[in-house]
Amino acid sequence: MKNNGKTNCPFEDEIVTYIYDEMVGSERMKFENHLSGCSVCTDDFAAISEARFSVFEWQKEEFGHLPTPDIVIPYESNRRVVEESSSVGFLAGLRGWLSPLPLAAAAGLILFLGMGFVMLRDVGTTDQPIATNMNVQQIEAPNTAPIKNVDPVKQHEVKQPEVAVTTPKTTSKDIQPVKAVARRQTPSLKQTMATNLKKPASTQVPSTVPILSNYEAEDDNSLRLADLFADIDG
Amino acid sequence: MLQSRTDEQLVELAVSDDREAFDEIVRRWERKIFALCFGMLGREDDAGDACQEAFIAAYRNIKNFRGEAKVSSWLHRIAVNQCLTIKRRQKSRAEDILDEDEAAEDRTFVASPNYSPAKVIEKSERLTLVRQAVGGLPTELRQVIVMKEFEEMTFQEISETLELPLSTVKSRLYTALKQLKMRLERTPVEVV
Repeated sequence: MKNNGKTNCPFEDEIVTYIYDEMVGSERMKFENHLSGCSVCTDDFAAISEARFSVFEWQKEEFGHLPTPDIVIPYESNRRVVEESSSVGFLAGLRGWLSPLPLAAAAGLILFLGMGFVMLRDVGTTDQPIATNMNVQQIEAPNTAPIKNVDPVKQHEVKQPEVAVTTPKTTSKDIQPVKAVARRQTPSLKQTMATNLKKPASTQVPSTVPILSNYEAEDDNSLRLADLFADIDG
Repeated sequence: MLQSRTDEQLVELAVSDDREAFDEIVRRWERKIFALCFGMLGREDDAGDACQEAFIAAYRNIKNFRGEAKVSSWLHRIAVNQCLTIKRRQKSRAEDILDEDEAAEDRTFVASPNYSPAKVIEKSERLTLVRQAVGGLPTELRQVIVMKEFEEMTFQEISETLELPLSTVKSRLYTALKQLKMRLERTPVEVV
């Protein structure tokens, strides 16, 4: 056989491409036009086709009907094999016991580094909240708002008269305790005011007002501080 | 005995209306022509139709055979033209059921399907020969045949897998099939 049985036709290399249907449209047309007129290529094509069909038939008859085997990889039995092998000897057992250790060590290291990072970050920025998604105003509001807005001393001075006057109109829940206290104080104030209004003018001296001249000299037997010091000194 | 006659002698007999002589031509060449049609069309049922029509066309035109070329080349050319006609027909319109029925009616020249005991034995022997012939090919040639025919890989995929140029892959397959053909011809199956 010379030159592997090849002819000199330039299309002969395309015969297999055509037979296996891997030729694009324009090349296919060109090849078909050539094939219908070239007896050398036609005979060559027939020979190649016959050999190909023999292989095709062989594949179809002997292998085509064979079902594709279901390949099952026994992962569980592999694990059991490992477990069984671990109980065989001390070294094998130690190896089996240590096998999850690197994973645990890696997880611990990651956790430790993460905590260290968080702590360092917290130390570096103490004024800032640790969690970035935390609402700053929610934390600071209870501490700063009363200090900035109202002076506590003035608040005490101003508060009681205001409460005494505006108590029925206040609706805020925040001042409910104050409101309750004010309600408790209110009757006495009102009574005193009422009594003050009922009182006669200050120029009129009431009959019940004590006058020193009205008292007679009596012996005062009550305990005095001067007497105590005198007893101590004595 | 018609089996001992050459192709040219059978054609001469067929020209003089010897139908048995033409039947012998059909029996002798049907498989090769079918393989050619299968190579052209890529489908067994289409190849069967093309093969049928090719032999009908050969019978109708047998008086035009002048003996300038071999009978095999003459039949090959008729088959190629029939395949091209079928391809053009398939392109222009969908396959018509009526055509199939008509073709089935004319299926008188072709021998009966491969279900006779003799055909089964012949086929079995042929498969054994093919297995031996493929097994006797050099490894690099056998490799491309297996990858192409059994694994249904494209030439490009074979090229990438074997890290070979595309042209080398095609050339190897061409050579492999050529050598296979020669090996099969060297030990022809006895026709029962």
